[in-house]
This record gives sequence, C-alpha cells and structure tokens, in this order.
Amino acid sequence: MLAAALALQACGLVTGSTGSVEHPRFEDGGLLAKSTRLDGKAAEALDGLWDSTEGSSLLGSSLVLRRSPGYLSIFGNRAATYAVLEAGCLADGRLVSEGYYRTAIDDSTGLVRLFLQPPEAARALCRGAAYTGPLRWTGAYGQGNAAPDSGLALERRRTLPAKPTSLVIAHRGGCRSSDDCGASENSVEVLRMAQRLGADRVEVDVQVTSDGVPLLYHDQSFGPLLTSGRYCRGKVSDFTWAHVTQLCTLQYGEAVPRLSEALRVVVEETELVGLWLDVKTVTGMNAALPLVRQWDKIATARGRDLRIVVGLSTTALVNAWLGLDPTKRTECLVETSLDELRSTACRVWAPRWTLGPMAPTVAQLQAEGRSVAFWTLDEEQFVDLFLQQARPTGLLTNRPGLVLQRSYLDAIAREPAP
Amino acid sequence: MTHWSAGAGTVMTHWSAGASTMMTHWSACSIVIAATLMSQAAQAAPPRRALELSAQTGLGRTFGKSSDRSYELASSNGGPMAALSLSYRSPYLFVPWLEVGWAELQWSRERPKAAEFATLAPSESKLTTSYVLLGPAVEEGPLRFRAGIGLYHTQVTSSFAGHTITPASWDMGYFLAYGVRVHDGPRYGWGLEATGLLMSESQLAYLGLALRVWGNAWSEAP
Repeated sequence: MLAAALALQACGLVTGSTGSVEHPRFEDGGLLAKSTRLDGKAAEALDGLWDSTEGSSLLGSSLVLRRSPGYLSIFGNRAATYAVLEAGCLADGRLVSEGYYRTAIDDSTGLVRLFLQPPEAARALCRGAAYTGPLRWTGAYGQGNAAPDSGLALERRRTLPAKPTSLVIAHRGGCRSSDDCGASENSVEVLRMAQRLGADRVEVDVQVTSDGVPLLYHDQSFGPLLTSGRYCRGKVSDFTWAHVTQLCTLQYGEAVPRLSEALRVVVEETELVGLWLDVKTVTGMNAALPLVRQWDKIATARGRDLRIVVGLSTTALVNAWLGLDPTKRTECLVETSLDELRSTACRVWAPRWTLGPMAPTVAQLQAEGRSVAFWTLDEEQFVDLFLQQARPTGLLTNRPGLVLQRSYLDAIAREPAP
Repeated sequence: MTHWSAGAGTVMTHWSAGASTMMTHWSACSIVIAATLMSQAAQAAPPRRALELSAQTGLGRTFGKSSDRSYELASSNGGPMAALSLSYRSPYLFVPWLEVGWAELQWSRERPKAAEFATLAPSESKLTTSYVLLGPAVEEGPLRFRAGIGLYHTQVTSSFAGHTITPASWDMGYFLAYGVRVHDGPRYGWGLEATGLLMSESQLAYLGLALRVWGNAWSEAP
C-alpha cells in the first residue's frame, strides 16, 4: 500500500492539484486603484516596437507593445514571455502601467510596474493630447506576488507597420488549458482575453450534445484533462445540455459554453475580427450553421468587422458542406486537400504546418484571392521559417504573442530601406 | 450502515446515503497486518500446484481531482467492490493471475447548478468501474503481493432534467494489492486483501479492503 500511496502522490490524485499558475496581483489594486484609466485612443499612441534597455532577460530585446480594449500587452520572444498591463493616470501627472508577465514555456510569472517617461509625454497622453517625441518605460518586475524589484526599462524604437506579415489566430480561443494563460481553452473567458494575448482572430472547437446543442469543446469525450467534475467523463454526444451544465466545468472552473453564448461574447464583448469554428462533426456543423448566420447578421447590424468562418476538417465535412442548400452556407475554410478546397466556394485553405511552408502553393492561392492559414505553429524557429519563406495569410498558434512579435519583426524586415 | 472489524486493526465504515466513506488505506493496511499475525497458526500445507478461483468483496474509498462540491445534497466518496480472479499457484516465484471486478467509485445527489435549470429536481449521479486486470503475484508464507495492469471501463449514470445518461469510457490502469491468507486449507481458504485500483487517464484511484474466499479448481497433491 505504500507503493500505492506513493503512486497516488506522484499522480497528484490525493491532493487534487490542477497545477495551475496563479496570476499575481498587486495588493490593494496597486497604483492603478488610485488612477484614472488611460483613454483607449491615448493608449494606441503607445503601440510600437520597443527595445529593452534594462531587464532584457525577462522579455527579450525587440518587443511589440500593442493596445487591446482596456489593456496594453507586451510581447517578446524570450521563452515566449508576455506581459498584460493596464494603464492609468495618477493625480501627480504620472502615467503608470501595472499588471503581470507570464513565461509561456514554464510557470514563471510576476508583477510588472512601469512609468511612462518623459513626464511631459505622460501628461500629454493623460490629457488626451498627441505626443510625438521619444517614449520610455521605466520600472521593475518581480517574482510571483512579491513587489517588483528587478529593473525593467523599455525605449520605443518605432511605430508598428500597418499590419504584420501574417495574421495571428489564437488556437482554442486564446490558449490551451495546459498553457495556463489564466482561463481554460474554449471558454468565454479565454475569448475575452484573446486580444490581450496577441490575437485578433481565434479558432474554437465545436461539439454537439445528444439533444443537439452545439458547445465549445475540443475532444470527442469529456475527461479530466480538460474538465473538472467527477461525472464529466465520456462522449460529449452522450450528454444532454442539462447534464453538461450539471456535471461539467472546464479545467479552471468556467462553465462549458454553448456556441450561442460564445458568439454573443465575441460580438458584444470583444473587438475580435475573426472567428474560426472548427466543427468536429457533420451534426455539429448542421447545428452551428443557423447560429453563424444569426450572429453574422447581428455583427453586421452592430457595424462589427467580424468574419465567422466554418472550418471543414475532414472529407466527410466537405461532402456534407457540398450537399447543403447553397443559401444555408456561410463563409468556410477547408483543412483537407487543395482539390477539396477548389470543390467548395471556401476562400481559405488551412493546411497543417507539418506539410511545410509550400511557398509556391501559398503564393498561387493568394494570387487567386484565397487565404492560407497554417495550423498550429508555436516554435519561434518554425514561425520564422514560415513567415520568411511563405508569408501565409495567417498562422494558428497557441502562442499568439510570440507569433505577433515575429510577424511584426518580419514585416519590418521587409520594409524598403529609407 | 456497516460496522466492520477484524483482529487488532479496526476500521469502521459508516455507510449510508449522504455520508462519506471513512476508511483509509492506512487502516486497511493495519487490518491486513493484524490478519497476518492471526494467520500464522492457521496455515495448512498448501498444494504444490493449483488453479485457484477466488471471489472477493469489500468496501473502498475513491481519490481523485478535487471538484466543486458546494451543490451536493448527499454523497459517498467510494463504495462496495466485488471481484473474481483466477490464479495459478506454483512453487515458482511469480503466480500469474487474471481478475475481473467492479467497484462503485462515487455517488451524489446535487442541486441544479445552472440558472436555466434552477427549478428542476436534484440530479443523482453514480460513477462505477468494471475492470479486467492481469499480472503477477509474489507469495511468501501467508502473504501475497499482487501488481497488475489492465483495462477499466468507467461508467457514469446520471439522472437530471428528465433524462438518464450513461456515458462510459475505457481507460488503461494499474493495480496493487497486499493480502494475507488467514486460513489456507488444501481445498479452500479465506483471507483479507487491501487493494488499490489506479485508473490513469481518469485520474482516479480506489483503495479498498476486501474479504477473499478461494477454492482450488484443480490442484496437485503436496
């Protein structure tokens, strides 16, 4: 029994540990609690390519800082580290930015506090006025919940190009549960976070219950790797929607979302511009299509620039798509062969990255007015290879911040010399 | 409700709907150790070779990932188990065995969690496993240690909102057991065994204590 006890401890069964990383927070809300939030337009003035002049061991040297609704995010390539910050104006005229950093490849995290320099830049942005001079951030970062004490300084090198070489599409709504970005994959919470993580487009997975309710979930079966709930085990298609709500929560405690709720959140609560629905089955596709048409109309009526694309990942799905009444089709994407892409009216081809960059094919499809988005690239060296060789329209990734940083750097490298 | 005691080690299992199983693997081990001491006087000469059929039944407790239990009205974190096994005893070091069994892992009644179903009656859910395991055993005197590997078929039965669902999944897993033959006659005997069922992908473990009776389907005279 000792062996059994040791095995249980090793498996984490006795403790019930999820191994999740707590995102640190400043005690009492930090200085932000005493500030007035920086206006979104003013925050846009901070977008740019920044150099680390101190503390480059945290994020790397060439950093992309980008605004998203309510947040400033900084993306580096050292260990795919990113920082998610909020900015506010203090009564004494300083502009402070506070939040956390997270190293994607391990469980490192800590607090970050930065002040915008020079003071006249802070005062101008806090007044909502333009400022065109050089910008710097000075401050510190720490470990865990400890007060920041390691120096960190950034200096803006330039503004960002109009767009990166490839668009960034976040896998499973923003990140995988195993990457521990602060929310479970395929949750509405991660959809709300996706832009903070570096993506303006997301991919989510659609399964359907036995009573025909489409929901976001990747695997064919519920299980303890992605969910909690003692009875949340077995095929999704064996559960009624009522049973899903009663028996299952996602890994970090969120509800398993209906597709309709996810579409509502994307349209009403985010500025995301692309949503790729990876429908896993023909039943799931048929259940999803009326909702896609409904929310397409709502998004258009609200003036949203949002493309909702149904992904066809198998030949069975392509054939089912071709069998649909054409008036019931929506925008689509094909993950299978080029022949199957051409047999449909889909404008996007999404091959797996292991097929290689296929630069001539990508160029040919782009010349035909189609888009190419590879899945799923997370490693810097492969991201760079695909950007440099193929310049695909988009890259699906679990590390949207890293891909965004690499993609902007590639775009800058391609700019004609002044 | 069951009060169950044996020898110097005593375990009390308070078993009723709405109460948790209180047995731990430490108390299960202490019972087996106590039974080991008792067994010394009860040994008969075992057969030289035998094909042994055994049946066992007992109670156990389940360990797994923690989950939100704030909606629970009643629950049990464990339950009864039963198994049948076949083993080939011989003078060689390892005794091969094959076992099929069943155990109740969880049971609970819970209030509706989602607002859209808040007015409905509570759900009632049960998690059980059926398994097929095989492996070697090592026997030394009255003691037997078994380690095994096999397949667990984990079955949920849940009634809620007018529907009963029965999703199931297969999982590979392991098995550990430490037992003692309290009485080991030439044709039949009985003993106690502490068992651990380890379901790897399900991230569940069931630790139990069982009464085991056996008989020889075939034996070679000593």
